[in-house]
Amino acid sequence: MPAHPLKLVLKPGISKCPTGIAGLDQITEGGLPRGRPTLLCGTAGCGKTILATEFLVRGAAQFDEPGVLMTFEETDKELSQNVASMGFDLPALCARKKLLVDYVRVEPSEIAESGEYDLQGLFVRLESAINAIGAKRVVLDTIESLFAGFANANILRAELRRLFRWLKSKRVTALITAESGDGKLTRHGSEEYVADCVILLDHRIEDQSSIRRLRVVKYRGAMHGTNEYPFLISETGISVLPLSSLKLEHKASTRRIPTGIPRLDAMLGGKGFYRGTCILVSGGAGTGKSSVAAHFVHAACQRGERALYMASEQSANEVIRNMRSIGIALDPWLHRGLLRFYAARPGSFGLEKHLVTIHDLVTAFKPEVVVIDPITNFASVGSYSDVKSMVTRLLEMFKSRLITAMFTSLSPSDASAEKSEIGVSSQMDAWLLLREFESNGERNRGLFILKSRGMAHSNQIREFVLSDHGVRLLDVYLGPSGLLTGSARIAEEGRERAEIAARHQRLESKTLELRQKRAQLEAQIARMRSEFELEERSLLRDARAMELRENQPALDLAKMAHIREAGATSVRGHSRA
Amino acid sequence: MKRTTPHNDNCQQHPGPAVRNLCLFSASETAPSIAAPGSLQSPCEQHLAGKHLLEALALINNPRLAAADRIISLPNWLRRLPPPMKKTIGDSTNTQPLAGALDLLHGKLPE
Repeated sequence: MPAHPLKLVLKPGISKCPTGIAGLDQITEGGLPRGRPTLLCGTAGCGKTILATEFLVRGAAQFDEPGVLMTFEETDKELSQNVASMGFDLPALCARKKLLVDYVRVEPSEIAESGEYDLQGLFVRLESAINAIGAKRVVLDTIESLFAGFANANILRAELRRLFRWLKSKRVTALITAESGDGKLTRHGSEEYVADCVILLDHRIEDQSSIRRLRVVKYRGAMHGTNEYPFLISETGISVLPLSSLKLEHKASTRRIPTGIPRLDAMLGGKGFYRGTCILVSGGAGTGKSSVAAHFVHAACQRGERALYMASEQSANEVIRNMRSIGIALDPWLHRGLLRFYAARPGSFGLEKHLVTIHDLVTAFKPEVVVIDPITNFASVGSYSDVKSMVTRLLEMFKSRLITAMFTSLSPSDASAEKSEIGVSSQMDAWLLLREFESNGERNRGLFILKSRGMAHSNQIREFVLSDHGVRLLDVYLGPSGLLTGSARIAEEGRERAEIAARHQRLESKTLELRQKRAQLEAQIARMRSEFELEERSLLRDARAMELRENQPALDLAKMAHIREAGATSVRGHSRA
Repeated sequence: MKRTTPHNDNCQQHPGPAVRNLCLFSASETAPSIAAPGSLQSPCEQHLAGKHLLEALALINNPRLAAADRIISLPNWLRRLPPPMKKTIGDSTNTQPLAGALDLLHGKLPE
């Protein structure tokens, strides 16, 4: 009998229990470990209770999994009021037997301890609550209160370990909140080792703005995102970002969309940008970044596409007024509902809130084109890496929806233009650089394409002129002292024109001279010919005369002879007469 | 003195005006609970002969009562009378502190 080959049995991973919380299920690739305890730790005010409550509420409402909420801190009434602002109606869920809130008050002052004890009372109460509604989910909030209520931490620690095992044996998906402190996940330790999954919430202040972070510290038997993810508490509960997948799986469109500036389209292989790509427009102050963006938006609306304009420096009205000065009328699009503005100061709230607002807007409005003007302003809210990760998430969001996005970026005048301030240029598909050239006492603008992935593009610098009819791109002149722009370009153009005219004149006078010379020559020839003719004629006359004279004597003699001969007679005759 | 047996829910027997009304919540599964019931028997009998009521409740059968009295740890002694209510947890292998905590000795009759 042949030996059985060793069979590699691929068991399906552990079953997961979706939380229903936006983003969290993506990070954990499906939710919390089903039927196992998860520890949720964090400092005070970081959102533990809200996350835990949302886990139960969504479980009851979306996944038909009843839940038990055992709270040691807030009464059920307080809790209901606190989460009502997020649209969670705890009393209604309780009435439908989808939720059971058990408030356990632990009052250290009224309990005296004597000898050994255990938390069996808690187990009993929990079990009766689980059985009462057939709960699949359990939340204990928070175990720190237990530690505060009992003096013997050793007993409590042992009892908590027993509690985790017990919850596992009950096959409920449990979320136990714990307070972290002193650089440890939990104040009293050991809980994090017993839990199958540990999620850490963090609420920190950086540069006077608050940032909430969520991190999956451990997750037994499953893959999970290990980064810190920003999250926020909004009107609809917790939102964990990323809002899209962790993978790079964007579709790549081959459709092209014009930039709104014909000459720029020509520089981009004649067709403009690819749809669903991200474009960075960077430049110093006043180089015309917003104008390029306005053209882009204007062109999109002209095609009948929806555009979202996020202004972080100007209000919507200011943008409209300012763009009208270069002949771009944005207000008709606004009234027709094709254009929407989102104007907010970056400092008004944290990056995460902005990110979620943008996400909500994009989801609701479904724009084809998005402009963020400028992205660099967000650097005032978060650190370099925060902003970078925000941009990454934005790109992720836009690309996954095939939205063409244009980001303007203010580069400090002293820095190299090629250096992107927030380090996002590598993530961009196209990069237009607007530059200022200062010479002859004036500043002029130039535009060139630093990169444009996947298409042939011009390597030429174009002069960028803001006219009453929008942006115009002109060729630049290369003079002996470099690029010539503005009045230097105009002067150069004039000089060139004059030169051409002079050349023309020179040519004309040469032609004239030649003509005159020819005329002179011809006149001379004519005169000489006439002189010659005169001379010839006189010469001929003389010759004839000479010839005549030469023949005369002979003739005369003959005549004379003749005359004489005949004359005798005639003379005779005559004489006779 | 009347003493109900542990895990008997029915503790409605009132032996006249009780000076002390004590209640013991316990569970059958865990060691401290099993050890608890006997621990107060002798101090009570010694100091409060006939003037106390000692109930013993199995929590598993009375989750609602436990919720009302906010019981989470076992064994849990409750002195309902006289007020204020006093709560002591622990198996009370050392009876003296327990009796002190529940103010049993205070009612000791002068010898």
